[in-house]
Amino acid sequence: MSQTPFGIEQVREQDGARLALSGELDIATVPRVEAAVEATLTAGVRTLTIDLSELGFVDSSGLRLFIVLDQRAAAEGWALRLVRPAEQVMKIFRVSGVEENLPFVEDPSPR
Amino acid sequence: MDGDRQAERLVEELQRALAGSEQRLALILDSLAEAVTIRGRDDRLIYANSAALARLSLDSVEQLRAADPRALMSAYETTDEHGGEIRMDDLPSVKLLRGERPEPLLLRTVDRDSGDEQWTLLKATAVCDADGEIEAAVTIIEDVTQSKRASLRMEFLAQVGDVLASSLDYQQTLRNVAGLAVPQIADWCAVDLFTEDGGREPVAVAHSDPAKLRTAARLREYEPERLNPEQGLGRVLRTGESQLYTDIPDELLVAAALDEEHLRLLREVGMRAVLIVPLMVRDRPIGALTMVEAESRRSFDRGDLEFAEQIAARAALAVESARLYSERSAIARTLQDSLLPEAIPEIPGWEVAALYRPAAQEGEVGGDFYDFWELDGEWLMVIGDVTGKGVGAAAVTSLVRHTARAASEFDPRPAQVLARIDAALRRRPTVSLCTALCLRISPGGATLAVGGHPPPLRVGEGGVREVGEHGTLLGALARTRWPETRVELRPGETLVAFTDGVTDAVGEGGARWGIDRLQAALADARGLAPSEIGARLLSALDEFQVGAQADDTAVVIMRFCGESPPGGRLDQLSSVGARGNG
Repeated sequence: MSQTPFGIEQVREQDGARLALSGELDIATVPRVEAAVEATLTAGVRTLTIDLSELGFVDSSGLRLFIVLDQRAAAEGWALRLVRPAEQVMKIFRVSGVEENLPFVEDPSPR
Repeated sequence: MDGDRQAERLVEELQRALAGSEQRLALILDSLAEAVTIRGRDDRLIYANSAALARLSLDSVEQLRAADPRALMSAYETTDEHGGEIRMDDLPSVKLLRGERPEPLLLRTVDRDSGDEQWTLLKATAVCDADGEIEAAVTIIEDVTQSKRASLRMEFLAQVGDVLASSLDYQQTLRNVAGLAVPQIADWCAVDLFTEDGGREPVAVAHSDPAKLRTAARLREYEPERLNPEQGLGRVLRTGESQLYTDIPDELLVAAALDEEHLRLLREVGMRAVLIVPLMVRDRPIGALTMVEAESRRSFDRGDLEFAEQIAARAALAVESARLYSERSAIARTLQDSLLPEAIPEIPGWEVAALYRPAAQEGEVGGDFYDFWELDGEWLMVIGDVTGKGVGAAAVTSLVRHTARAASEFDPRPAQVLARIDAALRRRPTVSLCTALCLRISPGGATLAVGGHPPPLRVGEGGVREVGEHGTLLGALARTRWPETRVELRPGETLVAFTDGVTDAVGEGGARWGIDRLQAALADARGLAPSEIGARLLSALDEFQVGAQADDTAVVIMRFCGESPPGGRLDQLSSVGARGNG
């Protein structure tokens, strides 16, 4: 088991934007997602899909990121969708009770 | 007029014209600031303009022609820019006469007599006769001392910057800077810091010769306790102004010497020039950089003084940053300590140990905490992890701890305590998240609930097992549940509660320690005292983890001893385990 470097791939979709995350999302890499989200929202996107299917690890600061984004989306009136991560990462969302509180979706646009 | 006479006259005129132009040429060459020499086929110098004669300390071209060229060169220590010796055969003019096509040569010359250092750039051009044979080599010698020194100083300052930035141990970095300065800038270099009471703390003294350092150490013994405000360091401390001494007559040494031995040492150093510049922080001198020229016979000028001030400015900044940083670290430690209980309490029927390790980032307050308190003869324990770091996280941690204690007064059930913490966090203006495990000791075991926190491990007859049900992370979520679990323990069984800093610890290749490795490390822990289990966990973690860890780590280990208590044990492992990552 070795660490995959963290990466963000940005795709402009018809009805919004999609950020595909890969590697390890932790206190060191969270700011990169925040910056990418900020740039996307500034561009006027109303539906943001964050794809977690290629993530290998999420820590508590990663959980916080999605909780904050969810609250922000509700307050600012845009839509957040999270594409479900692999099982070992989903477990972190599940055991912390975060899963049932976040807008997880099955991948709507498989590549 | 016949043709012969005409021809004769023409030759005469030409000769006159040539003689005149030779004189004019000499005049032109003499007016040049650059030194110009001409070397003949036998390697002897046959001409030098005024600037070149002055450089060679000669009065006339006749003297030059009579001199042995090697003897002329031997008056200087001549090296290339890397310090390699340059011989006459390496000079461009000599190479040219040998038929080579030499590149321009950058030379450093030090007058063996005066110690004057010069940098020159030599370019040679061939003078050929009618047959195209090289007759002589003209060398133009450009004095590049100023620009070379300026670029060397830029390089030196860059090196100083690198050294100062390399570590927060300012004493060591100042020693490294002093070491860097000798011998290229000065023969001696010392750094002193001023103390609050007007004294000084010697930090560094450097010389390329260790024997001289011993002399320095002995000279130091003669320094007065309090600095004299009228001279040297004391004057720099009083005025904040640089001091430059370029004339140090023996009388001055005699006047300064406290006894014969002191005078002997002062004379032994043979100071030719001294400069002392202050290390200024916010218009106040906090120390001084002293440079001395002695056996190299060099001296200092205003340019050197300004240069030394530039070095001192960088050093002062480094000292100040390091001091601020260590102050900040001390504040962080104090704050962190305030978030943990001063001692692990004695809980009847239980043995308890706790350990806490901050993340590698010194000077930050981490978010992990634990606490124990007694309520009407019952004991409660909370361990948790506030997301984030720094003062903000410390404030949230403090809120969580106090809320937990206060909440238990109303309702000591763990699920209710978590619910109250969740409610308190929600009232905060920014999203504040916390994981927590709350455990309430009751006869024969404990009741517990977790909120987004790893459930504890039970080390007992059935091996190492996770106990309890998962519950919701505290602070922000709408749908919440905190199921309670009752755990019955047999005497000798142990509960191990931990934060995710333990399981998220990073090892070789980015691998995480994980719950499986934690369970394996506890596999043979049954029957061990909690402090021993803690020590084993720490060493297993140390063995695994690589590099600076981003998260802090807390573990609470509670061993049930049975209802008739032998008395609780007080074990605070955090004082045993090293801070940081060893």
